[in-house]
Amino acid sequence: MSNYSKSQSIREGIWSLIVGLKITAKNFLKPTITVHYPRETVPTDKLEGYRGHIELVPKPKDPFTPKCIMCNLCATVCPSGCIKLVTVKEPIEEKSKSGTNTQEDKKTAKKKFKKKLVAFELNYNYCSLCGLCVQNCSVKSLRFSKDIYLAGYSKEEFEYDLLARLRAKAKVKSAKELPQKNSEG
Amino acid sequence: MTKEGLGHVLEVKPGFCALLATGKVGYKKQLFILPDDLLNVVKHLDECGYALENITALEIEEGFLLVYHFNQWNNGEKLALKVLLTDGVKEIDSISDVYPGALWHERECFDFFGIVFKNHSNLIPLLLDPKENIHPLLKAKNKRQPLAAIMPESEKIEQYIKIEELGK
Amino acid sequence: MLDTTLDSLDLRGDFYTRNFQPHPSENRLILNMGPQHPSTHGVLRVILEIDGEYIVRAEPVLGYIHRMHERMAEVKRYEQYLPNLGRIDYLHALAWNWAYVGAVERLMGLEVPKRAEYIRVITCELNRISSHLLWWGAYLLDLGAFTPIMYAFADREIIMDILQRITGSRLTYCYYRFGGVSQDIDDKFIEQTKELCKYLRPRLKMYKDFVTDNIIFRKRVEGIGIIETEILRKYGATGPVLRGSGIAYDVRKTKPYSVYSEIEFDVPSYELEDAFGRYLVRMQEMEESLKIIEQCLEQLPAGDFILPKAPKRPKPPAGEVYFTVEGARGEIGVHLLSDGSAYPYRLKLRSPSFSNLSLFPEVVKGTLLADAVSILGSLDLVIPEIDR
Repeated sequence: MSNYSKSQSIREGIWSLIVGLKITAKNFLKPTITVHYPRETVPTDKLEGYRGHIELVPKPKDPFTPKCIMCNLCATVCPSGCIKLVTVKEPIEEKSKSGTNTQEDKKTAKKKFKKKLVAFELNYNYCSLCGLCVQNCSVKSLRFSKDIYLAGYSKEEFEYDLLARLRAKAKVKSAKELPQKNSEG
Repeated sequence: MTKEGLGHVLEVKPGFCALLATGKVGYKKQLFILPDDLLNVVKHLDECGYALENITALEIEEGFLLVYHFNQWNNGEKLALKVLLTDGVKEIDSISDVYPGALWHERECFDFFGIVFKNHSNLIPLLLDPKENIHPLLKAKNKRQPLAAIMPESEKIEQYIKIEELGK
Repeated sequence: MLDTTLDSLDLRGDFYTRNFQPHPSENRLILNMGPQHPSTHGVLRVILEIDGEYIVRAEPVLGYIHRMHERMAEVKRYEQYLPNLGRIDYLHALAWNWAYVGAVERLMGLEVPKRAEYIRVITCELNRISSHLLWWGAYLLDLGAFTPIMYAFADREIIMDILQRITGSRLTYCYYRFGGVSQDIDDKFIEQTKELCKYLRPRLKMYKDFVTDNIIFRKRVEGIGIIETEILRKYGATGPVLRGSGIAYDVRKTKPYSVYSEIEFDVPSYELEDAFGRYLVRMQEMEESLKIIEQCLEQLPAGDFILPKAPKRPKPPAGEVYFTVEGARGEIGVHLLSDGSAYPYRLKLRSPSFSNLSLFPEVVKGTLLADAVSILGSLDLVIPEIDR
């Protein structure tokens, strides 16, 4: 290597370092793009599409009962088996319409049982948020929640009963709405 | 052991490869060979400029089926070599002398199925715990399927080729 | 009686170390790099025999995060296995999604709607860029440059935000379904992606000035880790490792799947054979991916995003299929055998990093220990993909 090209390569090398430092200096003066987490949180518009754990969708007219028809599709499709539906069979009290009980009515009254959802258990520890349950739900009774700031000390804290959660949420909501209605009235 | 399902596969003669129909499988060529011919065939493929892509095994009713995937870079045409180990044989020649890349693939097969590769320089577990001697991909006897049930293509042999004429 | 020989006291290392070096040798040192070494990107362990600063022999030890994905496939139904795919290669999860979904589709003979194919290409390429960006940052971190990873993560964040809106996840995507994708893209996604393309081009140019031309970086990669074509062929290396040695083999171009045949793009390759060649390939691939995304957004047809008749719980007919796609690290292959039931009979995952790493002992012989880190980084390893 001749002297000329050697000195040239040294000059080029030093220049490349100066270019790099320029970029660093420029970026140093730019505002920060990170979020200082406990003091600041991620704005909600950035959470669009975020999938938290699943939650039950209430019936449009009754916020305390979910749309769920207890078909168990979500529980069977779940790859990790973290959904469990607890149901009980409850006899339906047959109210006779006319007051005269025919024999047919009696027969059906004996046989008629209604499944009732007691608890919708989700073990969030094993959930991988694939969304197969939401996709497979035939009555669209499942959706993703937006619960992002979850932290706990034990495994048990992440074993949810989604039905209880739905009811608690509905209660809070109705409690908020009630005083409004009262003041309006 | 039923040999009816095997069809023509067992009729492959030493020194010959059976060219199978490929259908929708995704290979350009599918060859069935005898375990003793493996090294010979692989040497020929090496001369033809094939790259080793993958080695895999599976357990079937007849024994073990080893599938070697080769690839050509200029046109992306894949070739699959299939070797059947029957009658309780769990040994086959290692091809690591020709393709050193096979060393790890063969160790993986040894891990998962317990197939022993002869002349392998370092046949120790690759992914599993060396203290435990378990082969997780072995199937229970009632779960094993015959070859014809999982590879319907293996029934249709198009022609027999001499190993020496493989490159053509 | 107490046996005080070296063997009984386990002073000569564990099983792998003893297997690597059964007898102690003079002047040579056995060094364990990893499994907790930052440059191994996860839990890869490499046993090295070093003579001074030079490496005589090397052997990677795998299996620290082995999860037996192939066994899991046999005990889960086809659709239940989908979430697993996002966890094999967490950096380019969508390519693995595609390889598996594509294999099942071919087995069943499902025709994917055109729009779904375009959505797949767009999202897969976005994911490829984010994978390469992370590699870029992490590789420079290995080489001692700290700042680049900050820039890479800032850009990656935008891609992750875009993909989160439609896939629902930020890293371990489970977006593709048999016969399409799980959710359609909307105008906001298209707008955001177009903006990203405009934003990333000058950024990539800035990266070139910032790092690629940097003299310190160049000295760490040029002429380091030369891999000859013959070694690549015998070990079955693919992806940027292959293209960095001058062989323009890319599944997207050589054997186009999906709609890649309708899109114009180049396959960058450099005949440098060293770490710098592999670096350049990846940097240029990001630009090519941007080109693909822009074309796809222009050509995006209307229609279904998933086949209306697509089975949610498929039961493919008996048969064999081998389907490969081009991932960020190389050729991803899924070898699927079905016996006609709802569970796969055997599923083999061909991971590119596995083959790419297997040639490491060959390449690293006779190099400096510090260069081994550079070579390891230039192979772009994702350990969960190797261990599966």
